[in-house]
Amino acid sequence: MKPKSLHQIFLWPFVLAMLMLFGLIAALIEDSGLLEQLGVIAMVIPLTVIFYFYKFKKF
Amino acid sequence: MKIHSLKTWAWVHKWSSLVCTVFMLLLCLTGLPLIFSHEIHDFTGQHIKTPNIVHDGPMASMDMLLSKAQSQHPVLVPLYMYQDEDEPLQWIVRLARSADAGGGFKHVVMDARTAKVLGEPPSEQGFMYVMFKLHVDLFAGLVGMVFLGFMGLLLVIAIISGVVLYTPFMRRLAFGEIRHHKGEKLKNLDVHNFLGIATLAWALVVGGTGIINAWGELLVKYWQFDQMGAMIAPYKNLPPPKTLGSLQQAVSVANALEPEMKLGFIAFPGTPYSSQHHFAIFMRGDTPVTKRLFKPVLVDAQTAQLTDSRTLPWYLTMLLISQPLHFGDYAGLPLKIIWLILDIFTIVVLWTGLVLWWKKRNHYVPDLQTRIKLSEAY
Repeated sequence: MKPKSLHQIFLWPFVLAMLMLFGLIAALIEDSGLLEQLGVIAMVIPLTVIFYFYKFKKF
Repeated sequence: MKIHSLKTWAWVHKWSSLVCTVFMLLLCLTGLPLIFSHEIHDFTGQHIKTPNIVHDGPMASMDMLLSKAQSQHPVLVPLYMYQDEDEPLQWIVRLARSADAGGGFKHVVMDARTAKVLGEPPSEQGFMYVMFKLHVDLFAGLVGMVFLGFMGLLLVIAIISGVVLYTPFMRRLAFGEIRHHKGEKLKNLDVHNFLGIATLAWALVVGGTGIINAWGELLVKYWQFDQMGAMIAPYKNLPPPKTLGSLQQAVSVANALEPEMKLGFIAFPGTPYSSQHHFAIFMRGDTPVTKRLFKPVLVDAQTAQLTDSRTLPWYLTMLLISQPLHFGDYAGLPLKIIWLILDIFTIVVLWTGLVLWWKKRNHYVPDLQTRIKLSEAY
């Protein structure tokens, strides 16, 4: 494999971190509303990505 | 990145992790049941529920509630009066032998409508209490809290240095690539790197807010010195009052001063959140964020006259906002389950890191450049 650039290395981690931060804050600023639900969904995505990559993704 | 710089980061990552790992494992393990403390209290029958009764009259007066609580334990003094967020029709009074007691607490739970005593949950005992104390201060009080705060700081350093070291090891690996069939060592390394980077934001938030919480008592002490001292300056050198005035009147004064706010909790004279001369009535907002932010209203405990009221300084606002972000208790069961999974992932990151170090500690270590090429270093 050709050596990856810094951008390529951190693209996915950055996306997952942003989703997690959005989820943490969105769920905090609204009780039982759409924003809270979006926040929880945003936090579930990184967990799903982890599960998928660990269990199913072939390289 | 230059090899010398990489070596320095590797040294920082190794030692910051090694020093804090055992404590972080303890915090992650004790944190697991604490995430579900409400559910566990419900399951074990320790949660006292509000009876379902028809009540059309006014709420019981604060004086009656206080008097009922004190009649349960005539030799004890009241410290705080507060509500459980899930039980808005209850008031709980915490009592102890003295206002500055660090233990020996009793909690009297009462119906806010009728002032009927509903029960007294067990205090300072049981499995959840042990988990809580191990998590918060290792049974060592303020020293334990400050120590765990330092361990949290090391964790944050370990995470940041881990991110720096992630770069050279991922140059020729795809994101999330776990080499399942190339030996235990490489698999552990890949799992450590992958879970570490994928849970980075959560770990930094929970680690950072953990540090703020661990040092929260120091922040409160500074607030007492900084703001409380100024608010109660006119009472300096006065003897503490022998008899207290009406609590209900004091609460009415606070309500009149802050009509848009709700009563959060009350600190009685002599406690760390008040002075010898005051009922400290802590008012709170009504939105998801402002309900966590309190505004103290100091009311003279003898005359029920307003003394002073100031908005919380930024450092206590930061402390109060950081608490839900550490506990993960602000969006119901789904968030608690997410916290549980992320906590388990963190345990895996800590454990694989420890295993990698343990297996490597007596082996010949080639230079770092070679280790990166072999993907055997971390």
